[in-house]
Amino acid sequence: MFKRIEKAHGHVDELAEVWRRLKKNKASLFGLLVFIFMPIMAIFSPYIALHDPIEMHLDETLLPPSWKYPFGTDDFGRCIFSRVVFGSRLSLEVGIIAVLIAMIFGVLLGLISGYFGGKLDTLIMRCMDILLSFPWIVLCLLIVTILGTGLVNVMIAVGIGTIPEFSRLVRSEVLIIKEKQYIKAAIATGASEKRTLFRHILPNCLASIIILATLTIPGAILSAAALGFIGMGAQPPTPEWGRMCSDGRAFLHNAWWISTFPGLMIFLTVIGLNLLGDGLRDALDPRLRA
Amino acid sequence: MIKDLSTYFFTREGIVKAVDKVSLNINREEVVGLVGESGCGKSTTALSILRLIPHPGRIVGGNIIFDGEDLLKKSEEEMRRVRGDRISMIFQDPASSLNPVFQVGEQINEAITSHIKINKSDGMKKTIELLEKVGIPDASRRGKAYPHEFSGGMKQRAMIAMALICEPDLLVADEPTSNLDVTIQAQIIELMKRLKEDIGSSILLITHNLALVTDIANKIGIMYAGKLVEFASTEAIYEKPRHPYTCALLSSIPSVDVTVERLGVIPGEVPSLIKPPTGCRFHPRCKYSTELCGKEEPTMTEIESGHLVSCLRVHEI
Amino acid sequence: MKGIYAYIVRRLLLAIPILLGVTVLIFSIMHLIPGDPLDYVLRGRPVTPETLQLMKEKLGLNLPLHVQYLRYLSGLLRGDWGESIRTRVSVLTELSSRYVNTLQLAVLGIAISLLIGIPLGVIAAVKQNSVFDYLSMIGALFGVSIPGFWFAIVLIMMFSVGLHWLPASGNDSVLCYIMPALTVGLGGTGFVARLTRSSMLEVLRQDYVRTARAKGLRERIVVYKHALKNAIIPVITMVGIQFGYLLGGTVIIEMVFAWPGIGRLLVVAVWAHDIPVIQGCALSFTLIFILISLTVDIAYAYLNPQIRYE
Repeated sequence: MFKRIEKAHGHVDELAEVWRRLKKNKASLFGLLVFIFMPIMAIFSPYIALHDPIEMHLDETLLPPSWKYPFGTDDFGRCIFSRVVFGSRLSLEVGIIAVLIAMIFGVLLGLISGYFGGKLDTLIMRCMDILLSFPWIVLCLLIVTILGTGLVNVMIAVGIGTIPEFSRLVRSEVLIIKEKQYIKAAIATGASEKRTLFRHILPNCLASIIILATLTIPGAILSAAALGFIGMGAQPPTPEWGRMCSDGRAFLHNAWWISTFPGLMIFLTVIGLNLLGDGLRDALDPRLRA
Repeated sequence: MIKDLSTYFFTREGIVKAVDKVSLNINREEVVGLVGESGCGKSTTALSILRLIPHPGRIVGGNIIFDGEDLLKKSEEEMRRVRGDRISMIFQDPASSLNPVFQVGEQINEAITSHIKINKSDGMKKTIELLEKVGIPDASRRGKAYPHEFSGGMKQRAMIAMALICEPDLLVADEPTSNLDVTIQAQIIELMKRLKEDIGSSILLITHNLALVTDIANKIGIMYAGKLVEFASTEAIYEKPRHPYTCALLSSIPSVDVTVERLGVIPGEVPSLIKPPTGCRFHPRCKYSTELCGKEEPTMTEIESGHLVSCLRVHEI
Repeated sequence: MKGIYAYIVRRLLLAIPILLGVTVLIFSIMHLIPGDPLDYVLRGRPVTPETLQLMKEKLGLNLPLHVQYLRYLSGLLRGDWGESIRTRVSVLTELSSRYVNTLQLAVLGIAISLLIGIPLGVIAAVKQNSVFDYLSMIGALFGVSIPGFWFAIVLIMMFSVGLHWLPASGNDSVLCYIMPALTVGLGGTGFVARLTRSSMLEVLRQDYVRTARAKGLRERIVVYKHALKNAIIPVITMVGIQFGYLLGGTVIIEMVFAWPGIGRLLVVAVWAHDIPVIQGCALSFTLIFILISLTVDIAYAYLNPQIRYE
């Protein structure tokens, strides 16, 4: 009982230290801002947006940015600003769920592969290698061919493409942890395999898994936006950032705002998340800083 | 000759006075041992001679007179020419001190070709000669091997070869045997003795192991918490140690000849170098300390010819 | 150098089952799609049952799956990669007229990443915390975070629509290469720069760098010979993976710039459910990628002698 409190206390101290270091890094503060601001924008879209994102105002098409329409309107008279705000929901959803899919399957596969070793390990790793032989977008396109277009399928596709990263990470961690004394002790006291895996090994990998997750979410958002750009994702009139960029291509010469603002949002979101990820990594491993 | 050398590290937590006004002399063909606990500043002293102090450290005071010139006044380019050529250094962990992606022979050859106008193949010949001298069998084949193919002892021999290929006047050896097996340790020390006779260099041998230097050193300096506390010939240190720390050190070494009830232990801990104790740095742990010891800093006094001690009460104890 | 030949052989042997696995995956696309594969070929054109049966036999759809796979595999090896459903042209023909264009982009991308990224990273590391360091790392971060397609669109807006300096599509003149190459190279350069910098910082802290300085070597040699050769190892390891991302990137860029490569071919095929072309493109991409990975691994073994014995 006292051990538990001590351990928790130790963790709290560690967390406080990490938090302190994170705060010092101004760049990662921006990332933190994005990290907080984005979900707020996504959740409170109806309150932040000025108009209904799919409502068309056919007498006000292709208007440049103004007070009424901060980001202008597109060729259907829809408010770009509102569409961008609502688009954050989709992009965030896709990023998070795709990484969740990758995490669940990847961690499971990594645990099994690293712990049991042998032929099972080789088989799983070969499968991962096969997946990794495809450039990510080719893999996603194949999956979209099978499943069809749409946001959910994009999530699945990007998720599947990210599984190998997680499985490799977890596997290498498991290989190291497996040899540690406390695992051997747990087994010696009769812990079942499932129990050993989940209660002893997994918690020790958790830190790396979370770091990898934060690092892969921005990539997932970018990939999903790219797939949306080539028309594989959400279909109109759903306001998806990638798709919006693509829609605006016909109007580059007379309505630059249609493509620019959605892309800008993607850019800012990804930069923010990357900064946060970098900051987190630096805070947890101070050796790499100055 | 090192005079009043001070090297500090300017860290976020404070100024670490790693080396504080240390002075000692090394004469030609002499072996001087520098002994002290971990963290007492001996390695830093060694690195200061070659001006290899890493950031955030800086040499803040003193002179290092080598062959009539003050090394601390030289430009970086002049210093570069001295390193490896007139003063060489070998380090504690040979495994990490050799570059893993280059052949060993090539790394040694580099040491000579960058200082003397000699072409690569002639340099290689000298390298192989030297490798044989340091006791690496089948030198011409071994020279083409990579560091990870060498054993620990062999790696250190290779490092010695690299340091001696330009026949330096001074070899600084920073804990050269601490990472090696005990049997290999003796071999390496023997090797260093032999090579010293052969090439005629002086050696500054740094270690935390007092017993190690007795065999090879002519003079020994004892360091504590960034300061040099005693400096004398090897015999003098052993037979007539005058500083309380030196005495304590000697009594903590088990000896074959003398049987004791308990090995001497020095109470207390090594002090922090950011906030060292006032006055004599050893006084909190010294059994002879008085109030004065805590107030006034002792200076090195010559109690006998060639025997210097830094203690306020040296004449009384 | 004995060790390296054994390593090459081992790597090649490893690549074969992976390649086979890839073909299995690609082959199974046809059968994983919901619905009858024949529907896609026919596209709703009415046919008599006899014709249906004939087509089934011709395509071998009535045979057990593993036999179908072997037919597919032997077809691949013989050079029969099928026919485009959309254009009725042989898949290999479609591919062969285009793959060079994609390769050009990918190679340009990698070349730019390495030629600009590595020096940037090295200098940033050597001058740590200087203005150069901050600026180049911010630039690198931008490169990694910018959506490629958006960057391309912005470039087009500025240089094609706005200034009329560069063409927005096609690949006939050298000018056509500039914007696509910039776009492809951007992400890669950022990544390589960041990786090189952190790797270099790590290496410069190592003992053997201190030894090199203690030997009295010139600082330039210490950094560019001793440090760099070690620091570059993780970068080279990643080049293979980088190339994979780059290949993926070319697909998008080919769409933006209407570049006639296999990426564009693939996307159009996906829109049109042109299965044979999809399969052919996927296979081409994978083949290229596996070959490059192999080359990179061998280069890595050459640079880092320790790996040859694993």
